[in-house]
Amino acid sequence: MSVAVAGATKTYRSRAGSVTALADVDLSAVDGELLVVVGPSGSGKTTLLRSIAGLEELDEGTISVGGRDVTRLPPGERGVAMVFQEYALYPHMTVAANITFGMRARKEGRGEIERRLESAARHLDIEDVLARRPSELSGGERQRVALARAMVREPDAYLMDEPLSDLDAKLRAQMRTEIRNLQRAVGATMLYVTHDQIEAMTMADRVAVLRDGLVEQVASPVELYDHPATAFVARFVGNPPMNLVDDPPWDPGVTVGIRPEHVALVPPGAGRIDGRIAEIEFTGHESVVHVDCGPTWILVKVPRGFSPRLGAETGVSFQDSAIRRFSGRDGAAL
Amino acid sequence: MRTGRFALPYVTGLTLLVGLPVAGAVTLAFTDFSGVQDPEWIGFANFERLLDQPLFWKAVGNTASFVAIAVPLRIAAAVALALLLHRRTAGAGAARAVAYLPTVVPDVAYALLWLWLLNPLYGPLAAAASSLGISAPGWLTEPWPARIGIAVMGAFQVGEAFVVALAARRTVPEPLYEAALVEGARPWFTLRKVTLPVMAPVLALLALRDVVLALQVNFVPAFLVTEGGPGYATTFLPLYVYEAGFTYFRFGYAAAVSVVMFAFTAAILAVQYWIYRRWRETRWS
Repeated sequence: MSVAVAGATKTYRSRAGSVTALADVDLSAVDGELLVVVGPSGSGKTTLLRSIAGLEELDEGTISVGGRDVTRLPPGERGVAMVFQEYALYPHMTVAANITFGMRARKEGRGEIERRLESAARHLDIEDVLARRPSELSGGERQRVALARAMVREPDAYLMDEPLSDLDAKLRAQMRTEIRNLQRAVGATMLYVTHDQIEAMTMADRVAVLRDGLVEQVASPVELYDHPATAFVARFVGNPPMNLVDDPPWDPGVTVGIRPEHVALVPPGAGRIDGRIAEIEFTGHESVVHVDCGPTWILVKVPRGFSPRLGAETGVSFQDSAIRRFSGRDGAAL
Repeated sequence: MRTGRFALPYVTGLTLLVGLPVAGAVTLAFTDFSGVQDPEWIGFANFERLLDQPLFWKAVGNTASFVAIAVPLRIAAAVALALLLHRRTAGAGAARAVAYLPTVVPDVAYALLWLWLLNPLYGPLAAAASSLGISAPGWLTEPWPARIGIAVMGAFQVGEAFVVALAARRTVPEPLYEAALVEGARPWFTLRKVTLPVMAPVLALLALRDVVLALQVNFVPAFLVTEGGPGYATTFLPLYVYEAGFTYFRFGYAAAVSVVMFAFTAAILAVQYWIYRRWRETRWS
């Protein structure tokens, strides 16, 4: 079912001052969509998710799930299931008891509890660990148990709060695929919060980029990569990030952005800017060359076999069609 | 070697202050000693005698019923205070200090305060009861109200158990509660299924420790407030030992009762530990 947030505003106040976590955020995920909310630390993404779950109260704004206004409902009545960053598994309970906790709390029938437990365990391949305690599980198994606990809820929407951040890189890549497959298999609406833009780009139907409590852009991964709405999105999305040059001599007053794969190294004087090769990062099938161009550094992706010399003078070149232009004032795409 | 050297002052103190007196008391338990003549070795006679003493058995019964009432009451009080006051909200710090306060009041002053509170003629509890048109129970003049009264007195001096329970409550990760909330669990369900089981190892330790404490702390109130009465209803083992030793000067006999009391304490702890282990094996799911 759809999830929609309208005019969400949240400010945390303390003696030290106040911090605006959400500033009039409008965002919606359509039925069956995987919407990834991405942003740096302090951007408000976790506050947004917790507000949808009912764990935070908005100062202003409304939240609806499946068209039903849930803004004032307690967390348990919102029809959402949440997977927490550190899984929040009950340490003293077996895996089976963890998964069925919510159903037992809501006093659902024993037969129904067993049916859903069995189905979720089969889906997530954790049938062999149902009698174990969380401390006896690997990171990946704990992750699956947390997912199963959300699944048996049969919620209207899944809320995922950086669920892969505690896993190592290899397992994270594997779980990304599993979560994506699971979401497609059950046709669930999922809001997925992460600070990892690779996770966002590889999993999402659409990505919402948050910054300082504001939505910078909501778009498909391809759209986000090719047509960033702001200089912030341009720099945040992509690895290595887009090169941004403020006030360049050929286009004064604006910030121009060029993706590293659209930049070529040419002999000094033959390109748009000259610089010195300051760093070379070998990544396998290609290398990322850092060119020191005085006030700015330009990153250039070069194919394997092309081996520039560290410290050498070089020129950098790029096509006009590859350039993205942003306002020098507010960073908005021009 | 270095670790051993650090432990030396403690071991020395333990040997001098605990080990030697225990050895002395155990030895004394096999003697007839009035404090005037030299101790006379009489073997197990003191133990045989105490088994025949109806007052000894009465003291054992009183003590067992006191432990059965006081320990759950004290643990419940400590846990309830911890659950109420664990949040770092305005005023909670002051409330925590107030909760701890009765523990730092000297035992004798505390007992005298309760003597006044429970006084059937001019005590405030009796006055409050009569203003409501009901008659207060004879706290100090009837057997069970007297036993319960002493247990209730102890239930306010739970500062240390409260601090331990508070620390245990704070170790329960907040996301567990958030997960329970999102799953629609009601507070009572979460308390039974999450809070108490996660705190259980600490609470079990507290209960074990409180049994040891409860077997000793009843001495001052029983001595000062009820004087063992009415009708020996609050003559607990510590008071019985005291009277045998310092009223009737039967030090050997008193030592024998102390040894039995030690065995009694150890037996309760063993049963408690066994129950906890069984519960943990079968119920943690």
